[in-house]
Amino acid sequence: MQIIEISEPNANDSEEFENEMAVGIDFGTTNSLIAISNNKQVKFIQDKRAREIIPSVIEWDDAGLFCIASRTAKNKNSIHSIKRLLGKSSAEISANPQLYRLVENFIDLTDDMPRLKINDRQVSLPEMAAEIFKYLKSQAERELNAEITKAVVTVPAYFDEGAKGAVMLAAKIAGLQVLRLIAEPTAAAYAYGLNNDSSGCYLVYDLGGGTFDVSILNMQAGILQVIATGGDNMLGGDDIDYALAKYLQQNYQLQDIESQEIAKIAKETLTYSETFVLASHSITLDISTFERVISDLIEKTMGVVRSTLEQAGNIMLDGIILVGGSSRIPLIAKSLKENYNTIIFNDVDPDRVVAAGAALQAENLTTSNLNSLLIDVIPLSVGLELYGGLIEKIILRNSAIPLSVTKEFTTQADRQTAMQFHILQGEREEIRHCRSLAKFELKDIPPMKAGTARVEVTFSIDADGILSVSAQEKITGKSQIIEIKPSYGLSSCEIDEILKQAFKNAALDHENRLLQETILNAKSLIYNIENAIKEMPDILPADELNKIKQAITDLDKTFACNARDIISEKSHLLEKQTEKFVEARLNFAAAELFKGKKID
Amino acid sequence: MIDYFKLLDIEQKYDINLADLNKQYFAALAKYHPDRTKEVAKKHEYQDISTYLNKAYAILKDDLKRAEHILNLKNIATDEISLKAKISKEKLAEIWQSYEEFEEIDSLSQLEFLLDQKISEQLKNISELKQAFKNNNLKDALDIIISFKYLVTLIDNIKLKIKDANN
Repeated sequence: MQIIEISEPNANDSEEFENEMAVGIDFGTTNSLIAISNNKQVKFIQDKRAREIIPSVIEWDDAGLFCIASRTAKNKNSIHSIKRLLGKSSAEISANPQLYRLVENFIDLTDDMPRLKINDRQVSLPEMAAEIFKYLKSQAERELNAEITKAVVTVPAYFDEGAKGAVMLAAKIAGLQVLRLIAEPTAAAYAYGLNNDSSGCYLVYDLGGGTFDVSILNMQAGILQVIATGGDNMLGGDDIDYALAKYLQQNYQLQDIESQEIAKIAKETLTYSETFVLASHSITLDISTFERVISDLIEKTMGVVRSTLEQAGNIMLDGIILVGGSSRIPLIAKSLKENYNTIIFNDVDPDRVVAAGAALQAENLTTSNLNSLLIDVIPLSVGLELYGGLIEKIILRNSAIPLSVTKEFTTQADRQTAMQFHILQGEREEIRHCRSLAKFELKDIPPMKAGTARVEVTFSIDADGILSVSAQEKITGKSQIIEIKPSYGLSSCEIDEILKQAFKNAALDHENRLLQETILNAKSLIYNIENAIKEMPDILPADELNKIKQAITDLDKTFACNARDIISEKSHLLEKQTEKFVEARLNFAAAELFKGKKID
Repeated sequence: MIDYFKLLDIEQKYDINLADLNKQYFAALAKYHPDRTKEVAKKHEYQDISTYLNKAYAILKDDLKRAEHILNLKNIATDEISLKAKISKEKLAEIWQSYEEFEEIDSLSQLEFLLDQKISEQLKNISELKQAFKNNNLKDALDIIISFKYLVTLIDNIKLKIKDANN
């Protein structure tokens, strides 16, 4: 058996490991948080607007400069819920109206890999998502006054390799090395300190803005193990808002946007109050009506809870942890309590609990303090394509990792010298429902009768959940090994291209910023000179003044050309031209000073 | 061939105590999980060990795989080709008949009834295996494993059909 260790560059550099701070990042569909733990005390980082819960909204201006949710009003140049799009192909996005709607004004789906059109440049999805990581990183660096390069990032338990890879790539573009991707529900249990219990089984119910996840965790001898996961990455609190907004539209003749805003407020009010009243729109909504409107959605989540529990062998639960802002809806705790009659954990803020767990795990992975250990499982089965469009599962989902499985295959035809392997991930039996992870070919098999070649295929998953596959022809002494490098679900060309593009864009960003600064400086120079001339038009001879005016016109013309060196050059010329003026003005001011003294 | 009982330091027998197995597995992982070290060389080594530990645990906690493992350790092969060679005509006829029965059923309630029936047959297999191993009767154990294997596949198929019927 061969284990292939795959790591980011420098990931295992032990000297670096010790003294450096590592943060926990909850990269959410709707909101993101960044936190740091020191001696198990979690500190949430506030951004410059004093927000801990930072909207995952990326905005840009006409110059193409990005910022994170700066404006309160809805900006047409913005992208929401980018997390939903990560790891998705162009075909998947165009086939799903919910996804397509998020980016319909900016998306370019001509290639297999979707791209966003931001002004006149092309930006990949991981690169766009990197803007959120860049922002979180810069805010943490500002507040902690230290460089941050390492992070534990949480992802939904339901994310496949492609989506996980896109998250890792986004963090990498932002200059963060991902120590570990952990499932959001697992992070939550960590935050509750359930890993310190001697034993117990817990279910995590995580209803976030855009995704719904259920995990079942088993605690034993200080070790936390995920034994089953389930979920729906197209169901979330946003859908509850949407259902309520639709009800409000039908019953109160509200506009689309208005109804959505009111729905959000009503949902929040009804978490602590029996009725929601909005006199200005004569809306009265009691909790039973609200519960009736959302009952289908809640029932859908209960179905996922049931099937996940079934996967775990219907074990007895010692508690249920509520995660995600929408889990505050009282109907959820009520239904869970009715169905499972167990303790409901909801006293840690459900919006912050995941980030807290990530920060604790980051501290755990970077300090020599080894009190707790997290054993993870592979969330989706991995298999190979068989004849007839079927898939043979090699590694079943919820298997503990690290893990390695070897299967033997043979040739189908006489004198066959090559075999194609197509690796897929998913739970369905048919290939078209599964995600393609990679394809490779084993060549130079010695020509033999059909069925005599023995090809061993080994699937290995490391402790970080990264998959590698190797194939080896065994029958002849000569063996050949092929390794599939983990590819974040993307081809290595695609990764190179994304990274290259990201660096190019980063350089472009930098150049753009400098250009904007130069133009601003030049404009303020012109403004100051023009003002000064207005104040004292007579201190220079007319021909000198005309020279200055010509220099201003020359400089003004350069703004359109977007060439920083030309703008700087013309600015310098203007400054030179005005030297005499400044001198004259100084003399004049000095003279005035004397005058003043004389009067006194 | 690795002896997974030895690896997890538990007595080699079929009728194991699941709590003991859990205890041994978690204690070993707590020591050898790659996260337990910061040294690069040790991380590789621990990754190897953890991979074996996870495999051992997955095999020993499974009632069928554990039985196969005991036979394999005693040089009795349980791969598909070897089992096909050893299966009796009567057994084969029995298996075919129950498959045909299953194929003909379409109603949900009948499928669920069949599922319950097959699951209890499986439980019977487990207690038979316990008896066979206790008496060191490896030939019987192999026969039961054949029935057990086909039951696992059949139960998977029934579950799939129930799932389809529900959709």
